[in-house]
Amino acid sequence: MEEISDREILDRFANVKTRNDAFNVLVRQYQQRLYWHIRKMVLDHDDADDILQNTFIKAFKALDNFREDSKIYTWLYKISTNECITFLNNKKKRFFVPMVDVEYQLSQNLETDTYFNGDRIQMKLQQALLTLPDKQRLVFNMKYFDDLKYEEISEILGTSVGALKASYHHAVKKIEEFIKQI
Amino acid sequence: MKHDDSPDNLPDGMNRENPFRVPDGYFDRFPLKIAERIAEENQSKVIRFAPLLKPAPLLAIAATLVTIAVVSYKIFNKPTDVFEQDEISNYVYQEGIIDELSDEEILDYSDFANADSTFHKSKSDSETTHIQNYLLDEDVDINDIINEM
Repeated sequence: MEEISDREILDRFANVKTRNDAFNVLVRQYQQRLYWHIRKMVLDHDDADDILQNTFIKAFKALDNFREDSKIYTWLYKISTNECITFLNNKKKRFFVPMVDVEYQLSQNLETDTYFNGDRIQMKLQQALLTLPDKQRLVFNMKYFDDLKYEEISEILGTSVGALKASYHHAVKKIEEFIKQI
Repeated sequence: MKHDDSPDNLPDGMNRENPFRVPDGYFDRFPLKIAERIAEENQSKVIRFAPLLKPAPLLAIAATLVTIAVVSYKIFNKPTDVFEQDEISNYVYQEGIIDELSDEEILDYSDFANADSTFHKSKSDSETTHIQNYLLDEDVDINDIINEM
């Protein structure tokens, strides 16, 4: 699919007659990247679907006020990241369980998930990732899987590049330790 | 595209391959799902506000009329059969009756007056009787007081 520039999307969105079409283009353009970012955090497809929908609904309501101080994709990525964090925190509160148990649940669900095609090694990696704090897991996913630059991650999370580098390298160490223990 | 600061594969042969998948046609259907949700949200916004708009002018008129009625009642229905405590005290003082009262009588009256600063003629209670008895003892015609006020 040929990408349309942010400027063109915003101009079309500003026009009442072309607003819905413009937003449709935006959804088609970014849905997959955002979905996979969310899915890697929450693991379950249905949860990822809910969060992705909420992300785009929020974006639709706020796009008129978008200040263009970043790319639209960065802005959307930020919204979806916040939605993921909120979702995971609410999941923990809803079931009155500490985060460790929620991680265990997510890990258990993965083993029976129809939409998880990973082999034993990939399962081990996902279980290792679940032992990381949410934000550290986010940093790891963005760096390792999404291949974002530290400066891009810094803009999304509002954390300094130095702190992100430290967080990432600690995450790698923890994953290595976890793998060795299994 | 690999960035310079990206790490090599993790140990034990781990790689960046995506182990997750989605239901068939998910991404084809998703934009339509979003369009439907946006249409629903716009629809519910209209329904939520519409019931408030129509009766708003009627409610405003009704509220104004009620306010006017209450205020008018308060202004034009002030009871006339109420003697303020100050009115009686002033009369007693101005007519020189105060000079003929003992300290004990003044104090008794003062205690009684502080308990309730208005006296209703229609009230047949002990406070009213107390004043009437006092005035009678002093040969003060209560009708004179009423006429003076």
